[in-house]
Amino acid sequence: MSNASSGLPQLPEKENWGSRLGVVLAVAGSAVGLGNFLRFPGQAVNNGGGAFMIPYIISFLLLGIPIAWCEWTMGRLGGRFGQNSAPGIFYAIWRRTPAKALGAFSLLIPIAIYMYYILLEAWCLDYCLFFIQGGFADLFNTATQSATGQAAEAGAVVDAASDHRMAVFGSHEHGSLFTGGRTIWLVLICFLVNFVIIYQGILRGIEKFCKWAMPLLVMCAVIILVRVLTLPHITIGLGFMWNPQWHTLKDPQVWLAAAGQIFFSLSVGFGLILCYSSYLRKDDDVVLTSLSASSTNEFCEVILAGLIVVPTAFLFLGAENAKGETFALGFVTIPAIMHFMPHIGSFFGALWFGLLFLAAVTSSLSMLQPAIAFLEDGFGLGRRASVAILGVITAMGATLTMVFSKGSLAMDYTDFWCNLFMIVAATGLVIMFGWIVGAERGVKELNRGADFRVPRVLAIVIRYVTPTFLIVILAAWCYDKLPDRLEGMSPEKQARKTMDATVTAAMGLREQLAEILDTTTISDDDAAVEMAEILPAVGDSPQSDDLLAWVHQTRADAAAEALGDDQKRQEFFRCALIRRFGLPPKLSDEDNAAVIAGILAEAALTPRELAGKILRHAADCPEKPEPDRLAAFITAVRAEAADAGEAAIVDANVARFVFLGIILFLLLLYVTSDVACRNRIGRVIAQAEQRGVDWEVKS
Amino acid sequence: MSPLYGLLAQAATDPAGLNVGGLIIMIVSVGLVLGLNVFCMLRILVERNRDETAGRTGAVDEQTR
Repeated sequence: MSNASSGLPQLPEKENWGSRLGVVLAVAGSAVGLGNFLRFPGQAVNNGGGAFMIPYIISFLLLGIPIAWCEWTMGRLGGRFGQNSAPGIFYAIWRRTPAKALGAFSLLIPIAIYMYYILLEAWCLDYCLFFIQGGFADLFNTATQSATGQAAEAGAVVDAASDHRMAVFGSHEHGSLFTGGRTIWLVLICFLVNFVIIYQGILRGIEKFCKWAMPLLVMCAVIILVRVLTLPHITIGLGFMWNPQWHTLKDPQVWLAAAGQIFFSLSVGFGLILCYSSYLRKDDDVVLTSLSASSTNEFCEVILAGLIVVPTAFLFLGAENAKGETFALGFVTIPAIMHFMPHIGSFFGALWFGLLFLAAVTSSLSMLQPAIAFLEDGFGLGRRASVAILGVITAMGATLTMVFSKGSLAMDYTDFWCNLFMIVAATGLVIMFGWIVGAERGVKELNRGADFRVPRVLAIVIRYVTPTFLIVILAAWCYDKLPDRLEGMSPEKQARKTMDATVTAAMGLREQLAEILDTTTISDDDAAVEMAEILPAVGDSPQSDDLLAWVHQTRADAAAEALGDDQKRQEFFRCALIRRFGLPPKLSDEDNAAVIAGILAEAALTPRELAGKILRHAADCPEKPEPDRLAAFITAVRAEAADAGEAAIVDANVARFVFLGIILFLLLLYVTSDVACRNRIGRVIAQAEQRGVDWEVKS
Repeated sequence: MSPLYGLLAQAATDPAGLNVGGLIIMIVSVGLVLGLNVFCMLRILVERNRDETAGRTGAVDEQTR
């Protein structure tokens, strides 16, 4: 009997996944991203190595799997009411304001993340192409030409990779991505690829793409893994990654790091799985499907990333580079590793960044689909219109992220707020499942059509353990990171902090120069070159010949006076520097602080007056700097501090702008969600209920 | 083969080589993850074969409309 002839209202045409493997690969593709390949190894090695796996596995069982099951169940349920986006799904379950607010949160997060994630995608593509073109080989060969010795060679390669990253990321100046380079074009290509796929829909777009992209990604990683595991001495690198440091288990930060890694890695709790699972049929299994997607994510994270990244980084570049933060590990250390990889390193480099690109695309598709679904479900728009609207919104956001590229500032702040909102959204989702839907009824719904039934004890875990776990993570996250971020949005505090740092660095100049003079393993020429690089802060940089002669003479004098005693020799160099450059003598900590405060605060004093003040502080110093040179030094430091302060004010304003932008966008999404729920979404849910789809709402 | 890595690794101050604890943790972690993934994927593939045998297709389920 047709719907029309039955007299029942017609629900909108519903799209479904073509196969179960397709949905598993799509959800796994959504979760597998740069966080797996770059963040996990860094987190593990910095938090106890092998010992990290204990809190990690516990978090997977108590946090990752339960949240994923909650989300899959709620998504499939929402799909029965004809809803595919978080606002509609939550509204179908609970017709209250908090449900709409949670829906707006879950809608915001993927869109906001996409606005910077597209850049990461473009950078992976850029690095892949650069390896294919042989660009890295040329870059590193040029960098190592003048390096002598193996450590110097490794250092030169890392420095060159770091400079390349800064240039590609546009980290030097705001807006520099628009003044040259190909990043902007690659971003456009990535946009095009994403939106063409998403336009094709769930079955012909996302599922089709993920069905070949995910196996290809895993295949690339397995090829690299085989190469890595056959490297000589690889057990040394594996030991660095996996040898457990059991004492770290007493540190709560390690447990929080593990829980955070599981949470962010599985992409649970903020609407992606909710959206994907809403395209399931009502009796499709979610227990095994969810577990399959999560375990595929873990396979990529623990086995592929855990055995490749840190072991090779340690083997080729030592401990310092192997423990770097996510971006340094991914975009500095790995290109350097691939350069040193025996035999066709460029091939493995291209393969690695190619797989990261695929991982990024599968993830970014999942960030777009919830918003597309919302526009379609909430306002009855066609796919073309939805894709166009979302394209314009995300292009605007991505452009702003690219404009404020200095130090990846806009990206960094957007990421921070999104991460915070993710924890809030996941907490809300689990509380809704455990307390509004009711954990026991939720578990019954979870078991509908399941290949194997989950035990009822899961209801207790979902009701009590998982929300508590999430609230602890949220509190710890806020305690640990929020104060710094809020301070980062204060122009006054940032300016003062940066100026203090600039002055402190300048005051430490003498120690740096003395260290160079004292280093017997470098020649006078090299010492002069190194000193010339850091001397501009003094304000009257000497000519290189003059400096070389001075270095030579000073070292000769030190030798002539037979100052074998380390402390005496350093004292000799310190005094020589005071004589030559007029740098302030070493003061006590208290006096140093007074001098720094004086340089900054006593703007009414001329540099010369301030120089006199410093000299009075240094009454006990055997050598006093010349007042004129010291005054010149103070002038130079003040100018540098003022520049740094101005830059810090701009950065703080950018951070404020990002925060306000996100909050305004959230409000806008809440209002649109509210309008949609009161109108089209509400009507469709009512039609579904008339057709017999039911879900008792616990009042 | 690059001459770099062996020497660099030897020069590192961290403990060289995979110890017994590290080996056990690595094998258990890899085994657990791999075992779970293989188990889940095999179940799905078996189910798919069963569905195909039963003649089920990927068509839209009318009941969900």
